[in-house]
Amino acid sequence: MTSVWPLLLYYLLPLVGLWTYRRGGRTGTLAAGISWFLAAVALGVVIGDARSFAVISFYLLSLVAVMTAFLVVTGTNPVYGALSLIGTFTGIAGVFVVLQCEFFGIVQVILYAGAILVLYLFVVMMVDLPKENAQKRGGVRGIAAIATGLGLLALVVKALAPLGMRLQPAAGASAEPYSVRAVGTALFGPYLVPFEVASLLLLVALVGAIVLSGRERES
Amino acid sequence: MEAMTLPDLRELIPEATISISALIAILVGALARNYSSARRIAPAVALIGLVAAVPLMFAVPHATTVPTARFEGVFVADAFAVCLKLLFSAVGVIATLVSVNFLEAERQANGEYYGLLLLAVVGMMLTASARDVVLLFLGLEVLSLSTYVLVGYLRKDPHSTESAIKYFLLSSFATALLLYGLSLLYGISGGTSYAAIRAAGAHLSGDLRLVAMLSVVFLTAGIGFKATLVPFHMYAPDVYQGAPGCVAAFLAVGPKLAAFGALIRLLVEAMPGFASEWVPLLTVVSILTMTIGNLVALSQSNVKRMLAYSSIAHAGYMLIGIVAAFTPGVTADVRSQALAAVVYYLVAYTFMKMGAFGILLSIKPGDRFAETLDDLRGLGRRRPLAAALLLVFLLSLIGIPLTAGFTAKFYVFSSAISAGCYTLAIAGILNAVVAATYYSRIAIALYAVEPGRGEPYAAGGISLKVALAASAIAILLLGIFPGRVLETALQSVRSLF
Repeated sequence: MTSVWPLLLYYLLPLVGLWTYRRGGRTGTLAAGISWFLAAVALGVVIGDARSFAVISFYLLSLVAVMTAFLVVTGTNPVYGALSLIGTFTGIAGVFVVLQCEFFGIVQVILYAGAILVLYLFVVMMVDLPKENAQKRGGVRGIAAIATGLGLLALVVKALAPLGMRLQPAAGASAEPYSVRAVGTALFGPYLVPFEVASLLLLVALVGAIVLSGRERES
Repeated sequence: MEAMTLPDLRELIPEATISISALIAILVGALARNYSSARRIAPAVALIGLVAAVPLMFAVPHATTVPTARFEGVFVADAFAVCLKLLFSAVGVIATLVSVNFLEAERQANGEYYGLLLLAVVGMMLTASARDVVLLFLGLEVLSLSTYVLVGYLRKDPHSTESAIKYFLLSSFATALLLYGLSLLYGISGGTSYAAIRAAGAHLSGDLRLVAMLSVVFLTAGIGFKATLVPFHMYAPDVYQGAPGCVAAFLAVGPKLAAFGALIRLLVEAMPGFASEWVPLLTVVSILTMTIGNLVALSQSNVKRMLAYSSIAHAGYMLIGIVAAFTPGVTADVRSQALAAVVYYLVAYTFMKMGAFGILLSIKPGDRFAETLDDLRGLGRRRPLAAALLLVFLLSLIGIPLTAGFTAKFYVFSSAISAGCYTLAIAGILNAVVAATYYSRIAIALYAVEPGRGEPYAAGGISLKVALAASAIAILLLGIFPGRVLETALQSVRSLF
């Protein structure tokens, strides 16, 4: 079932001829939404205990994420694409909260939905991108890409599916590993060096951006 | 909640020194742009930082004798790390010396250049010391991000920009694969430290074997990109050709050394339990890397591309030593000898490859630096010294006795034989024969009778000459007296176990 998605997505991308991009994108989004919703309801009925609330909210939030992700990829207007991406990030933030990783949920909203998306929109609006043109699709390359993607997906699913819920945190892990306090203690305790190196990384990115895009400088 | 104590940061002093000199170089470049004498300051700062870091590596108490793991094992400065960091400092020094004249000839502002070069060296050093996948990843990223910018440093040159974009896009993709592999490892072990991964790898059940296999494949892709292993090598010739000459010299060596250093530590300290996944994969990759690198190099007429393919082939030779070390059933003695051979190979490779790329920066027929075989034709008559130096580097790349290249190949192949990897040893020897043909094409062009195009006038200054002469002397010394370096390599590798 899962491996149908990449195939479906590929054929819903803006396409010359039979289907216009709008119809493709909306149909795909609707199909993804309905099937996801049915899966959520079915699971809720099957489980039917206290955990079902979390499971249903997980499915509803991931429904938002998947539907908007479809719109991001299949749309041709970059501004709509960026706006849909906000929906995807918000959905994922919700999933983090359901999984009791409140900190990452907040970070997801502030960083991705807030800062990075605003940056995207700035760039999109400043450079005045033309509407993306519909492309012809198919050929050996496309088929090879689909085959590779599906093969990789099948392998990952085969490897991870039997594990199910058996993966456990390492012994000695904090009881609430994703609370703000635990993250802070980890950052300034065992992960102090990586934390400092991350600031070095930001410095490199900053200097690099200035070198590559700043005023022309010659000696 | 217990009081928070700051970890002991003394072992980071060498990295901190180089980072600080990087900042000074950048500041000097920004503040003193309008003074022509300032052009000499930034490279001087870079050299001082790199050289000053060397005694500081030994100043840390016990750092070279007793392995010390601080920061709960995130960072370690054992003999292996110090040995690699010495080499990385040498790489930084040679890259700096090689760059001075090039940047002046291209009339480029240089403060940021040396700053980014130093930060790339810091990234390499961090990967050598990393005992935690988070630090490993960050170190590799500091290195990669700096090199993206260095490759695109000549903003007016479309080739430089093109290869920067190519390198950036492909390398980001490789980084994503590496991260996916690391996340699978985290899933298996529940921790990011090498110790946790090692503990989880000691008893892998049937279900987890496939996940381990997947993560090994992704790690090979991610690290193999930096080490230019086939099939992740495609970018190398294009990027080296388009990059500024001095950056190509660094790029052919720096990321590769960091990748091999990280691979050795990862295999020894984190993933000995995954050897049955690694060894068959790396065996195939090694043979492919040697063969494809050498065969494609045969048909190149651009020397920069040829050297790029030759560097791919050399990565394959180095991989032989790693496979030999982790072949199931080898004794501890053979294992450390094989890894020491790889470390020795890294040292030899550094000098011969940087030297060969550096020579191209000392020859300027027309308005650009030498790149094609035609540019080098008849060099032996007009610039006998430059031709002789290039000949030394070529002989070492071929692996002629009395050069570092020969001893390096000898140690790697003999370690493969004593580990029982006969296929790899034979493939390596056959490849070395094939490789000799294209290196000799360059050598023949050098001493060709008919004159080539243009008058190849000297483009190098004193710093380039020093770097090239020092590399050639190092190659000859390593070739004639290999014992001392091999002994150091052996001791450093033993500190891992």
